[in-house]
Amino acid sequence: MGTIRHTILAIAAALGVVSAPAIAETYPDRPITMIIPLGAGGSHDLNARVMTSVLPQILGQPVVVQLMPGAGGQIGTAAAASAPADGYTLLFTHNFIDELQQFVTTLPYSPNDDFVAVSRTNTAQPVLVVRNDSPFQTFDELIAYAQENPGQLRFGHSGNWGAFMVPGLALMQAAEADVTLIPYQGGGPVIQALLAGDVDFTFAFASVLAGQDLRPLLVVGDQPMLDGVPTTTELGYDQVSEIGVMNRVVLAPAGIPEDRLAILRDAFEQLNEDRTYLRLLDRLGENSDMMGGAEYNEVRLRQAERYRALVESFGG
Amino acid sequence: MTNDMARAGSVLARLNFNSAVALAVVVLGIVIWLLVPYQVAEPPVFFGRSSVGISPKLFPQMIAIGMVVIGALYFIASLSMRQISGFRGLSASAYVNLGVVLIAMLAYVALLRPLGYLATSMGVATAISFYYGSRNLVGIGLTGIAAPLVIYTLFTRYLSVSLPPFPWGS
Amino acid sequence: MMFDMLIDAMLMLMRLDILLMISGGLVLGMLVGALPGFTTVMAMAIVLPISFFLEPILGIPFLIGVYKGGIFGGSIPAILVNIPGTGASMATTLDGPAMTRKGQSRKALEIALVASVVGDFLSSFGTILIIGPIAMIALLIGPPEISAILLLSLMIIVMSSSGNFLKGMVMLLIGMFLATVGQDPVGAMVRFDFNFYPLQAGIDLLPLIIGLFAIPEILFAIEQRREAVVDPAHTKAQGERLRWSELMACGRTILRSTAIGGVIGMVPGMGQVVAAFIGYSAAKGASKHPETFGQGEIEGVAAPEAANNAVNGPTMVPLLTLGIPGDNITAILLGAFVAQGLRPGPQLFQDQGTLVYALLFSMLLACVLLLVIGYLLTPVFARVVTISKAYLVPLMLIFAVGGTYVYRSNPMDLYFMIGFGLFGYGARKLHFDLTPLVMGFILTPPLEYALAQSMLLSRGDLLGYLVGTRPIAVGILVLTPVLIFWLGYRQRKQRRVRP
Repeated sequence: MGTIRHTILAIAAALGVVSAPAIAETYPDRPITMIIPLGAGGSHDLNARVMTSVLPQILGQPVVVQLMPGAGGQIGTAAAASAPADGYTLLFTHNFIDELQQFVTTLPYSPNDDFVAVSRTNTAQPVLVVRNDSPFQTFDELIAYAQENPGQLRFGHSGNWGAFMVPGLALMQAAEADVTLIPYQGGGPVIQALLAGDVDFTFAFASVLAGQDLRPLLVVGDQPMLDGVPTTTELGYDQVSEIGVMNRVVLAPAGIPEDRLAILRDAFEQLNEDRTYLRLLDRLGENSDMMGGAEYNEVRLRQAERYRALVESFGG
Repeated sequence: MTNDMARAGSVLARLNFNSAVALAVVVLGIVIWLLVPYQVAEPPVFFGRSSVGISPKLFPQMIAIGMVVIGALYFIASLSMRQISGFRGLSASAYVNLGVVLIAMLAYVALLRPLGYLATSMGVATAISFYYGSRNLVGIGLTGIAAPLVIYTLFTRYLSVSLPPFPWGS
Repeated sequence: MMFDMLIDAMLMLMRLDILLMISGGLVLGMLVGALPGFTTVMAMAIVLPISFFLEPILGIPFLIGVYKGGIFGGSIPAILVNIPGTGASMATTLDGPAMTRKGQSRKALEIALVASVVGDFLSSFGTILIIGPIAMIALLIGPPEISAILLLSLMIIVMSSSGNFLKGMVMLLIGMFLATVGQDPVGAMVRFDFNFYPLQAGIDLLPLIIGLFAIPEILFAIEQRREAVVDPAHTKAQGERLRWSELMACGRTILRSTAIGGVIGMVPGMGQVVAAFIGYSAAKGASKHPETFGQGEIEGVAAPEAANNAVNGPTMVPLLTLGIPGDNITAILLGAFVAQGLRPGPQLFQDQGTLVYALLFSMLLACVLLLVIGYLLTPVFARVVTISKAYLVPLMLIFAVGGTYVYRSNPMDLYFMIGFGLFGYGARKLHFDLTPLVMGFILTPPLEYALAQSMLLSRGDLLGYLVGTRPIAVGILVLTPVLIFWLGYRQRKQRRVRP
């Protein structure tokens, strides 16, 4: 394979001697970095690995995952915000980090000014679950009990302002139910707590439900995913549907040249047609409900308003 | 009268580095305690109930108290300790060596992003090899030039993690 | 029926390509684990996509190989140059480098290998046998139990640290304080950032470890640079091999550590680091000659190595029985399973029992292969110490900096690394044992978290909640002062016996 030539080129490239600014403007001409502001092994990481195993064939360059966890996603996001807006650094995050964080704490960046959406790769609808032997057969029974016994029900979630707490909080607020929130470090531990009986209800993503002894009571969002289980939209909680669903989104620093943004957006559209990608996603139990970047940018702004209202309602 | 003075004198004579550290610990504990109200924020409240169970102030405060108490006990114990500080017996040249390496390390880290991993590592590795006394060109070449190259290539190409690149060519 | 399934499972593994994949994973894991800054999680995450395109019986054992190789790999630099390659090998730095200084690097590496393999094998074997009961025990362990166990662990470690108890407590408190800098684990409220943005993420373990362990080595070496270009360790080379008699003498220690690691593996959130330290402390406490610990005592390497590997077996239990990952590593394994269309949990045992058992057996197979491969490679690794200090020191520095940077790409981590380096240097000069500091740092966030959860679960009435519904936690809390008292009594007796 011309290993000698390969090695020399590698060394030269490493030394930065061989570069391509003078050659034709073919973007991308070197690997793209995708920053993930979360830790290894989560569903986000898995989605990213699936993406980056297929995307290089479309873009013609490797896509390197860089995990930068910390500070609830702020570390990675801040790094992406300060990266040069040349299209070689992307941020793969989700809507709770993207649009909600700014109302919970002071950020060194502004989500909507500093980032533009490339693609919303998919969504994940959390499902409210209780144990199979729980006395609650329907969501209404759960709420009735909560309203009669304020503070008695224990709601386990996966972390403050995370993927379970936000829909849960919004839902409980809309249903006027007073429950005690118990944090856990991630989706796995909270399901274990539910099975052990330490908490009364929590959320889970459908992919996890498949092997478990859990009874789903309610699906957040507007797509009915499970037979016999109502969605928040059906029950009239439209607001919760809008802000409770996790949207996984790829962002680029604002200021990226228009043509490069177009190439990226197009690449993700192509990705969503790729059979291998779809097959892997399906195995992960994820949907491929993609939305183009331009359209999703509007959604982001709307979500920001809703999150502001949610956080302010708690005096946060 | 003289007994007290003798005792006081012997206490002073027994003060050693452990005592100094003990006092520093007590001071640290007090400082942390004082800082807590300024440096620790309060969490939000949901449905009228705290969302976090224990206040974020609790642990720092307990640590501060612990430091004061342990520091005091340590101080008392230090009066009967006979340990010899490792710093005694360090020659002046040792301090010079340490200083040089320290500055080299700080420069290395400060220049890492601007100049890239490869350039800075080569510089530092070659310099320290040389400073350490080696005059063997092959050895210095391997350590100072080949090793950073191997590491950089291995990390960025095969292990797909990122190290700061050379600023040209971007 | 069951027996047939087990036989079938074993037969499934009798393929050359599976053996090669596991071996490849082991070697890869060892190499990556030996690089400081590369966590096993990172290594597994990088090769995970490869497993998507292989069949399950090839892909998953490959990942398991990387995992096991990584844990052993971290011990290599820990023993040779006092830099733990992974967090799990921190406790190995207590006696490993001392053995190297005595010219026994090869022996140290070999006992680490054997202890790791034995601990891992026994623990995996035990897990396969009693996977059901372990799952049930795991469900009983909730936040109150975790808090109690963590408190107990902290106390054990402080009591068995070398040196003065009060000085150990000082280090513990400093470590605990450092852990509080940044966001609090529960509410993510920022503490002690002094409005300095990079501090909001808190201080991370890796710069702390690399700073506390690696940098002082560099500074110590540089003190006497001109006098020591020719190194005493250089001439002793790597020393002799491990002798059977020495291995047998460590037998009890290894078994004890395996048991400790196995129990800790059942408690979510404790992990390999804690297991290693407690295994070490237990070995030192039970030894007839505790004063040799820290000076290059072979049991001091065997104990933590067996313990940290023994954690692996039970850690798999929540993953396999419930499909719930307990930590990052099992989360990646879950990803591998799921990408293959396998859904771990009770259903998988029913639908694909043979495959599941084959995968469990592949864990045992990986242990055996690790022993073989490790034994072949240790002489190679042991030669590292023959490199003159003039080259070793700069190499250590560029590895330390590179490794710390790739972890989070945060230059702040590097400054912390240097700062901790100076602190570690000073602390060692002033005869402080750094172990309690590291343990305090590691264990404070989970302790705070578990305490907060316990408070919330009890809905305000902590005492009633504990006594009424949490007998295990109460039991441990009662046991703690008893154990402390007993340990203190033993130590005082030993101090009186030795003049």
